[in-house]
Amino acid sequence: MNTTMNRTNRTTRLAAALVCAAAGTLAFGAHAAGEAKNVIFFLGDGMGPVTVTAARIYKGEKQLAAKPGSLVSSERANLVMQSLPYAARVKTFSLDGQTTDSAPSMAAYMTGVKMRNEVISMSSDTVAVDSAGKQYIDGENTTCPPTNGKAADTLLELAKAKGRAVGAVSTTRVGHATPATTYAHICNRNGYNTIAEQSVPGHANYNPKLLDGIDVLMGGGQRNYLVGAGTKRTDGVDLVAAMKAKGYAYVDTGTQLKAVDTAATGKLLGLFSASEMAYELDRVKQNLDQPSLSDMTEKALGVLSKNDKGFFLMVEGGRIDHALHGTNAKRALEDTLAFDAAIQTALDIMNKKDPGLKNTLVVVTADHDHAMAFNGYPKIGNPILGLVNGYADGKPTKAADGKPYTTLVFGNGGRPNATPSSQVNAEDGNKPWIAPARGPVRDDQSAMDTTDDNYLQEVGINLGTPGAETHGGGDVMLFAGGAGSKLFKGTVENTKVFNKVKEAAGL
Amino acid sequence: MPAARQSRFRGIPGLGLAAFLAVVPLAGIAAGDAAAPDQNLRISHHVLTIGKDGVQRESRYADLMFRRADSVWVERELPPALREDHAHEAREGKVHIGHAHADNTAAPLWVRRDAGGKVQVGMVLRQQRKLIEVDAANYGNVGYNGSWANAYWLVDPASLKRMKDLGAAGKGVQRYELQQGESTLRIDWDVAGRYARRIEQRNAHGTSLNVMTAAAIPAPKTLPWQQVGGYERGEYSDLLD
Repeated sequence: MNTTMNRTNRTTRLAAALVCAAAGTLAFGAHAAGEAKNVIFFLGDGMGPVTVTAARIYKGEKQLAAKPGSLVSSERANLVMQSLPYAARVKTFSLDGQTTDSAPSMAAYMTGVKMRNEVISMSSDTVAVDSAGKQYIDGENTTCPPTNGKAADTLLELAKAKGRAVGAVSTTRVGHATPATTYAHICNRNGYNTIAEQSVPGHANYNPKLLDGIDVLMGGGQRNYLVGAGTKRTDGVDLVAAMKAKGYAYVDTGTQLKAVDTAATGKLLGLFSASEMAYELDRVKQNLDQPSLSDMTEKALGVLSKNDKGFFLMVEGGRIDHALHGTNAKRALEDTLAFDAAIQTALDIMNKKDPGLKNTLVVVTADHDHAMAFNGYPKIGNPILGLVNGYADGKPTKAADGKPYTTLVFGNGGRPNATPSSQVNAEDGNKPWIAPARGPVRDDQSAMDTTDDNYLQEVGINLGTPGAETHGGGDVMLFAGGAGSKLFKGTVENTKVFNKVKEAAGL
Repeated sequence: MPAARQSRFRGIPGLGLAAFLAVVPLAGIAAGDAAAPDQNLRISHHVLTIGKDGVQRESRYADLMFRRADSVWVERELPPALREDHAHEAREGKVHIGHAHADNTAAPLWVRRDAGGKVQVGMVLRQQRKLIEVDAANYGNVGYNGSWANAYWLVDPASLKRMKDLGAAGKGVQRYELQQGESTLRIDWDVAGRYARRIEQRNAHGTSLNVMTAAAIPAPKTLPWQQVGGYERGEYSDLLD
């Protein structure tokens, strides 16, 4: 394992950081470096600009449905994240990819180091595969040689070193790429068991930079912590029991989380599903006993904000990305709105504890874009999940094949790979109920409900494989508010976001 | 460990889900499942449209379908050249290409139903020797339309009652028709075999045609799901990043 930090290297980096912080003070005048003792870093996985805009319109539709006349049109709605006063654009390319994956992109934010795809918070020379192209994993255990790169300090670790409380919250597995970059170091992101071990104080693979332990860790991923049916663990070691032994309170349902008394809780571990947590749409409609991202954010802040020295919290809307991979825009937009609601929760809580956010920096960004496009010339107020109805005549716009198309489409994506039935139903006519058939002939979607939960948007390039829609290489948006937020402006490389947070937080 | 997500939809609104929701009232037909004979079918599809650009677009493909009392297996029939491609890739060990998703193109689908009527959908990755359990939120991505009835009989028999009965159309076949605007849907139902032999949908202008034809084939020596016993179990989320 490569969890051991190079002490000399770290000292040098801290010294360099002080110089940078001083330079930043000069450059930005009014900014007082280190004023943000609290940092909340919100990450919408895959939440590219089109997803943000579409979610905003979708929010407007919901607002209008709940209270007709409350908006002139759905396009006029406001997202909480876009109410933050400062904004920047971020270039997301990784060391080896014009288009990044979630490991190096979030790791760039957390460490300031550009690394290869699939690498989690390691030095730039780290490789995820061996010379034969085989991944450094065996099942979900790492096979990374100890000589393969060095751990790169993360914002969470730097905050911990300052005596601050630290936490990571996600709707994905807690060991998934984005949350993992805050507290783990590994050459290949798929070593989920090893990533889990790095979060467990006292374990041989524990990340010593976490000192007495990450204070809050919540999301999915029981199968890498627990043993028994469905486990991915191969050593029979119950990591939840190990964490409880180190003083962690453990919860695994939304009901249990609600009952947590944060005033009496020092360390909190919440694992609410075997693998990923449910999409927000399914969590609500199926009434699952899982917390919302907002619920988790509230409890995390309750635990962390008790520390007088401050805290660092990362909150990820992790499944926006998953729904986009499946070209299911509706679930992506629902998860984006749940993410936005979590930001509102955090702002409300922190404004009470720290009026005006004088000591609290809130950053909201995405790690990369997706291949979703905003299509055609739909009229104002057109349902964002609907077919394009032209602004001039309000009628469905037809493509060259004579068939209508939706506003949201994907540049590429997977196709259903088998048809267990004819997809023809006497009641509905020739209507495939979920996904338009994806052959050389486009289905006629005139009679389809494209706003259905299970409608999958059409794709340009057929990749064949389900869930295979790719990330996009376009720049993403960043929004910031509170202490030090004025540092965030212009167009920056993702690694620079690390420097700015570090400077604002005095890390 | 509790399952990550429940695998059945509940109370989902939306016009397009009429067929989806039809699964629930159809529970009464469940008893008929056991009575329905086993089937081994080659299901060929022919889709043709002529666009307003005057271009005729056409696709043809076939699936193999094996039906038993509680199981339906469907997989794409691949031409020999493509089958060799897949085998070659497996030999090369191309089970993971960097961050990109494993190539599951044309992976078979295995739909099962337990005594309680709960449906389980699995995607079979032969190269990786993996059976991926698919949760309801991702049915669309693997080509399962959410209706056991449609998977099992190729068309929900309950829907035939809403169609015009045109009488016998050959030995053991009953023909049904439904006019929907300019579109005509015609279904040839195999009475004894209990499956749709032919489903044809065409519009009045001849610019759109969609035909599914099912023909009996010999039963395989070993049923395909008997070959996946030793496969590693995975979840759909394993395929995501």
